[in-house]
Amino acid sequence: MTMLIATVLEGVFAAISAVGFSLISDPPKKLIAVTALLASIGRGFRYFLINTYDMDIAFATFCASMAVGFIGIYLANKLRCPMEVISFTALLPMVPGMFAYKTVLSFVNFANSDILEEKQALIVAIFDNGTATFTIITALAVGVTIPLLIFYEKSFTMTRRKK
Amino acid sequence: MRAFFTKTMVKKSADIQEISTFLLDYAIILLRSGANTERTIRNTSRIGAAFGYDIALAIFQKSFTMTISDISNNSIGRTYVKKQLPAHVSFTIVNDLSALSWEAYDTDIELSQVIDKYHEVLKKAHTSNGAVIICASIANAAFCRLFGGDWLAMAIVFISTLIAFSVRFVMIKQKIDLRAAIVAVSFIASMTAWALGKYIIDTDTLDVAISASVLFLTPGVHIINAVTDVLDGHVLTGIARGVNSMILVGCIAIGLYAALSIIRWGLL
Repeated sequence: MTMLIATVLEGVFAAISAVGFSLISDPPKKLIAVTALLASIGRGFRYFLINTYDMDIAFATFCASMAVGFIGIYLANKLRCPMEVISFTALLPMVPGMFAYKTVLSFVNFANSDILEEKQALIVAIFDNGTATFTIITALAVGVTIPLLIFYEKSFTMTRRKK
Repeated sequence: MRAFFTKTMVKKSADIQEISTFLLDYAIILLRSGANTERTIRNTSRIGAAFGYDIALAIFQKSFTMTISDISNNSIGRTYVKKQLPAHVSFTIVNDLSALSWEAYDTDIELSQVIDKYHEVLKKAHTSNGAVIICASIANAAFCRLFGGDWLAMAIVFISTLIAFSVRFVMIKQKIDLRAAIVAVSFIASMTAWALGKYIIDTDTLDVAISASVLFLTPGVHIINAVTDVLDGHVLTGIARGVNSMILVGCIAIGLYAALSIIRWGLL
């Protein structure tokens, strides 16, 4: 039960952040709610995968991003808009900001440290967090593109009014 | 270039000067608004095909080449090289201009009507700047929560984003180089977050607040567009977009690095 509440909360905050971030990209007003829905599905799904199946964060991100992609294609087809307009911004709450920050922080500390043991630990920290940042971003971008490639021709005709 | 467009029956016609001027503008605006390369090429070719012209586009990062020729008489044709504009993402424009290209293709509206509708779409975009700043701040605060920050950390992120985003807005208005602006804004955001946490709001998760404070600068749309471009086969354009977004990410890191160094040295 707590798992369910935690997943829902994760989704709600993801939705709030997706709405704000998507506004930066000036989306069509009527599609903002859809982006929020997709963002909460993506982030909630990832949270669920990580905590229930103990899945690696990069792979969980890949699955979540692909789910956003497929649902995004379906909704975009229903709403007659390009898929990227609703799903790209829905991925923003999954951007690995904390890992990126820790990479930079370890880098700063590494440059300022004189103790060998500390430096060794920091190299591992830089590499650990750097790898996580890189793999998660790649997983996000590739995951959402796969559905786009599967429905390739379809994806360009979505804004067409007549079928 | 696109054989499946040229097969269709052409009923409408347009002056080549008029349509090429329009299509050049159209392609530039689509590219700067965050449409990927394939979509830009298809939309532009589709409008051209609707009026009996064959369009070929070669897109580079700084400029692009467009050749437009009459399908029924190839001796009527011309080639343009146009400079691209700096990116200013607007999904409203991508969405509405894609729909407009289909409307031009499927219905029998004249070119002048298409151009009128195009200008209407441009007028609609980028209208709600004040709301964007506040919503982005709330979004960043929610983001801070996702990284494990507490309520006080969220408040810190909200205030620092409000300040930093306003600065970014002013800097872009002043046409300061985007990279310089991002370094400055990233520095301001993280310093504000740190100063608030140190002197005004007491929180246990200040590191989360500092890390979240710069994240609204992430060029997410450009990164994903880079990947879709490469996978679409527009490898060069994709790599160029990727390099450009990596430079922007690097700028965020530089601003953050500067702020963290100052904090670490205990200068304040």
